[in-house]
Amino acid sequence: MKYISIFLILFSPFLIISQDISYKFGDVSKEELLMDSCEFYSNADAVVLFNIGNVRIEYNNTMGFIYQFEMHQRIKILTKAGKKYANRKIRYYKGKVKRFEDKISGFKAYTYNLEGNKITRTKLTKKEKYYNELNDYRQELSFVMPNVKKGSVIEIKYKLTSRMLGSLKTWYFQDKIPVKYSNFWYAVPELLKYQVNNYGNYFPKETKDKYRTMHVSDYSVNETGKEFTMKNITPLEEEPYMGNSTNALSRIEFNLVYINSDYGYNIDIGTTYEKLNENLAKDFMFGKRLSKGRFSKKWKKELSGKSDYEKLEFILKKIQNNTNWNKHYHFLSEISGGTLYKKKEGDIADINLTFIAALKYHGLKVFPVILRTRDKGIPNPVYPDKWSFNYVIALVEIDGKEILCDATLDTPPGLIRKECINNKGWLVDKKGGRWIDLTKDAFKTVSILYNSKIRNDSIVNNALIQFKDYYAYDINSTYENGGLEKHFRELLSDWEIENLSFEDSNNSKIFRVKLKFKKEIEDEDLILIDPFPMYVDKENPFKREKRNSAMDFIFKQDYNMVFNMETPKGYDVEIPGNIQLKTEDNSINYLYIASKTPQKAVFINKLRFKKTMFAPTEYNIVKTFFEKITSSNNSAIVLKKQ
Amino acid sequence: MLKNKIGYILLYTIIIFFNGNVFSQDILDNIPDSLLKKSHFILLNEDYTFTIESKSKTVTEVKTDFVVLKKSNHIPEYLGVMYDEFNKISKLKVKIYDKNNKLIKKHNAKDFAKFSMAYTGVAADQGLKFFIVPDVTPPFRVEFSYKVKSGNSLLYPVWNPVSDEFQSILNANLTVVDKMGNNLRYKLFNIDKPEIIKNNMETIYKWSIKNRNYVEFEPFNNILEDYLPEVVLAPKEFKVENYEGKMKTWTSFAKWVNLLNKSQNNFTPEQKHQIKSLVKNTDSKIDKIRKIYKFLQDNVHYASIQLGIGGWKPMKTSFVHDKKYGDCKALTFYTKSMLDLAGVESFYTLVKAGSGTNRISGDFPNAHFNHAFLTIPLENDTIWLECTSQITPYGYSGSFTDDRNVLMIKNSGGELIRSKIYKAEENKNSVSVEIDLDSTGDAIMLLSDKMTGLAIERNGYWGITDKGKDKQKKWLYDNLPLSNFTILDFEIKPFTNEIIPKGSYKVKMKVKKLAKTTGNNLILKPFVLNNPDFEKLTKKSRKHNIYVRRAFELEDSVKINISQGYKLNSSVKIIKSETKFGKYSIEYQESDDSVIVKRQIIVNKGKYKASEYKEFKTFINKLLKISKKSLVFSKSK
Repeated sequence: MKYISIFLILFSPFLIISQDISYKFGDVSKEELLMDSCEFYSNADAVVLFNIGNVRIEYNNTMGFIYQFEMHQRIKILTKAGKKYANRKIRYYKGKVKRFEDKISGFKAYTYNLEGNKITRTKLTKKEKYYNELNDYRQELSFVMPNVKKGSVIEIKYKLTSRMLGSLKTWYFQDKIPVKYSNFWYAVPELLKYQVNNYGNYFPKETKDKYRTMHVSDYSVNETGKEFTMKNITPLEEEPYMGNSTNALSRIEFNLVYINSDYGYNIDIGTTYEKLNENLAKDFMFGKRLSKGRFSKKWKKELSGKSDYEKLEFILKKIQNNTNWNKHYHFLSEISGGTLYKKKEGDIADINLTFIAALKYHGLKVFPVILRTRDKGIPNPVYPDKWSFNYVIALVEIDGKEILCDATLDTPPGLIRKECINNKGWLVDKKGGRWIDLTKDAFKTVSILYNSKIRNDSIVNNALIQFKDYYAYDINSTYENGGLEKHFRELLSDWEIENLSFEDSNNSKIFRVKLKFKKEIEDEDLILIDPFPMYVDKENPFKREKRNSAMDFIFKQDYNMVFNMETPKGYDVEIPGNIQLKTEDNSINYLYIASKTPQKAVFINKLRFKKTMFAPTEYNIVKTFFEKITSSNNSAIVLKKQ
Repeated sequence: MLKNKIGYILLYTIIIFFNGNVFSQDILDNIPDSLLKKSHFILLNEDYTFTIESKSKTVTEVKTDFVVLKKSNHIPEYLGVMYDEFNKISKLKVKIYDKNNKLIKKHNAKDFAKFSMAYTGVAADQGLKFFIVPDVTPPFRVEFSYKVKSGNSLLYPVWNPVSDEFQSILNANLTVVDKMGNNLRYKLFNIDKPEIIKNNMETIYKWSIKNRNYVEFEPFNNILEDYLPEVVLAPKEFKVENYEGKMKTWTSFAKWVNLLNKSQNNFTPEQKHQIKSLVKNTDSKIDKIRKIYKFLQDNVHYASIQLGIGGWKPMKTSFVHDKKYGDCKALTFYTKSMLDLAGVESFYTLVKAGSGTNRISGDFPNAHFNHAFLTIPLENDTIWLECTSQITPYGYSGSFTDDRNVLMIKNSGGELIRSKIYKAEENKNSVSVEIDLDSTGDAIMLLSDKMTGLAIERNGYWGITDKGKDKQKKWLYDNLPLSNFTILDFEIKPFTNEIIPKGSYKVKMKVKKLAKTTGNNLILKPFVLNNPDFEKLTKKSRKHNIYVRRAFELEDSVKINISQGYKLNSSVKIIKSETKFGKYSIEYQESDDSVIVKRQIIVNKGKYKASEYKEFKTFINKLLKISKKSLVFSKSK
């Protein structure tokens, strides 16, 4: 036995670390305090040892139905830099009426340290707690854990009571630091139904059904719920061409969709998209708004004899020019139609539903499409989470073509805000809604024709650039705010711009620029010429070995460039080789052709994206593709004096 | 951060005024064509009135009226006023008119949203009340007015009716009513002296600006006062809560700071004992400072707490010692108090940190500081300790606080001194590269980068040295300006813990197509890593002074081993140039199978007149040009 005990002493830290730690408040072990790294994530400054929590509905005689959120967490500080995780915040709802505010109770917080061989603990005292009012709706309890050093363990426990039953507290499995163990359960009475949505890259594998009974006065009510457990969750890391990162955190969200009529209410917010569709179609703040187009009666004369597309253009311009967006996002509208048009100012829903109503009034086939802006993440494909939608645009059907329109900015038909090009939106129609691909018309096209020659010891280039669709819109905006010259000066930083002019086209989907730029020759025996100095990728954005998140290019891009060069007398021209590339599914195409005759050299450079989103599993394909095209885009023509 | 960070936001917030006589059919009718051309924004009228009621109380009333002519980055996104415990905001009003001067909408206080400074710190009572300007198609007109009653007279306003390029002024007036008769001080930039009216006890000052056209900012100068009119106001005497002070001289202001700090050193006997035992048996002053600083970095961390006078007053030392956190004031004062116990004299020092506007000058004492750190005079040198960071090397002040006027608080008063100025050799990157180039353009590349002084802050090296291998590797992939490479091996060394720290890393990698192939030629750019962060100068003329904020040095040695049969085809000339702006040189050593290229660039810190622009432009552009040099290796026939 003696041998065994020595063995245990020698190896006990390892043995015990591999075992589960105690989740009892205050029961912090020496092993937790001795731990000096996170075994599943080597870069950690701190690690969440556990997050344990639950959400449940309670009935309270004075408050009625409320929900309670309990949270118990333990965090290990691993490095000096990790001490910043001792600054904690608990954010919650601040009511206009004190009685309706969220309340925190049962708050305890301690820091544990190992001093010599003894575990000491320091309590967070009352005077170290700060209550900050963040804005009219949110406040926070903010505090810094006392006596925190490298190696400390901090532990916090509290209960939050809230009347905000519409959406319960979100549970985050993932954090900025690794999470070793996360356990969460919820239970709700049968008379309330919640949509429980999982977001992020990690999904809990271990789930268990949970049953409870709650008491409302003399009744007992059955509750159902679930318990989730996750282990060793690595934090989210920023990567190039990634969507919004806070929305990528793995989490569970709850949204109230149904209150049983026996309880007195009968609210069915929508448990499926079909149900949501049905509700929205008859919603006073949505579907009913679509019949408020009478205000546009006065345009009848001007519209007579016009084609449907011309009508669309006219009405879109009219609404765009006569209303101002107040920078608020909504998909339900409070004012619309004539009232809004007179008031001239409204949110996204107010303006776009008014626009749809006007189109409808003049006989166009049009539907509202609700969506989430890019910063809100993509909608759950199966379970609608009504309040996560924050935007509505119009889909107009003309001759079987579907055109997306937005009247809150100055884009032509077919162009919507970049922040709206986010996966799919739901088309609301009382005859049955459907998903709409929001990326379908997200094109960005640039075509350039270069004519190059050598004159007076300089390389002189003339370029004719045509921007289309989103590019045209972007460049036009740059031009309107006076930044066009600066834009090209930055693009052609090695060159001297001699002349810049643009062609004002009536079609706002096309913008043309004429450029003349030159560069002095450094060494006339050996001249290097870069045939494609702008609008091609010269550096590969995908350099890391691995990728965790999807790559989102937002736009389907199309680049077409032709470079013509007059060969100067007395020089030999050497050109790079030709390349043709495409991905297996043909989603990216690239072509580079170099050819020469004694008088001329002609180069072609074409790149085309047919897809905007690439999965992390496609990383190597995209990376290799970009390696090849950036290499080719950097090629040069060599002119050698004979 | 100190409280007056808030002040800056207030200053930059567009504050303009309407006097009721601009009504016309079109909002642009009364504006001269000379202003309309190219402006993005025109301040039609502003009446800014600042009243000094008493030593502690002031009232600011602002009425402003402007037109927006273009959608651009040079128009206000929001209209805002800062609030805090000492301020009471009233009469918040915004009216928006379309181009025919027809009122679109009126907004009042309830349409303003709040943004608390607590979002970024642990606790704060300040924040911004703001109104987002709606998306109206230009041109449109905005009237904005508000009143602020303040019980904190430490900072008087800075009046800069416009604060960005492409903004013109039709009419703007500043009136200061000094009811105390003689409590106002001011400093002027690009504006004439005021008209002064004295009646009885009060003195009234009036400034006005008429028909002032917009400016365009120029590279190598981001000093707002060089371009735009500005009036900086400051008190002679002030009072915050129960703390009265004088600001006529730096010494008198420093006395006020001493008054706040006076009773904050309250170490218990045990704490004193613990601190003294840290430096027991340590004789040298430097060793004592090092030990105390290490203790600080190991034991505390930064937490921003700014409540009331707490925006200026440090927390008590025994609290910091026990709880192990504090803000910049608390941690600096704590360190100073520990050094006192160790018998080392040090001085609590106020600074305007960061890269924004700096209003601290010798001739105009004021309170536009936002940070505190510690000054320690040594026999041959003075060092500064940054007390909020766990990783800053001993005595390193860095780009956050370098080369600016800082106020050293002494028992006897204050002294304005210049913080550390880094010389070129103390802000240096030294890169050596060896490239084995094969005939397809692929290469094995061995790179070593050595950084001295300020250079350790570049590219995030500062924050990566204590991270795991995996994260370090990602950092290398993200930061090396090459496209297609695989890291074979690397080592990132931590920076040294000294006043001028040194850091380094080495990488071995396989690079695909490092040289581009065209026919029988391999084309390679030798300097990819270590280039000056300048933009090429293109403008033909210059109006304002030229500033080079910091000196730096770049040193490169690139050895290219070429595969058999290839020969350097480019003409390589030795280039050498030395001017008052700095110097550069490039030289080559050729052998049968290799080429060595050596480049050195030194850029001096300096202030130059606009008339020197032509030579400066030549220097900068030439320096960029040699950095972009390509070498061509051709296969011998």
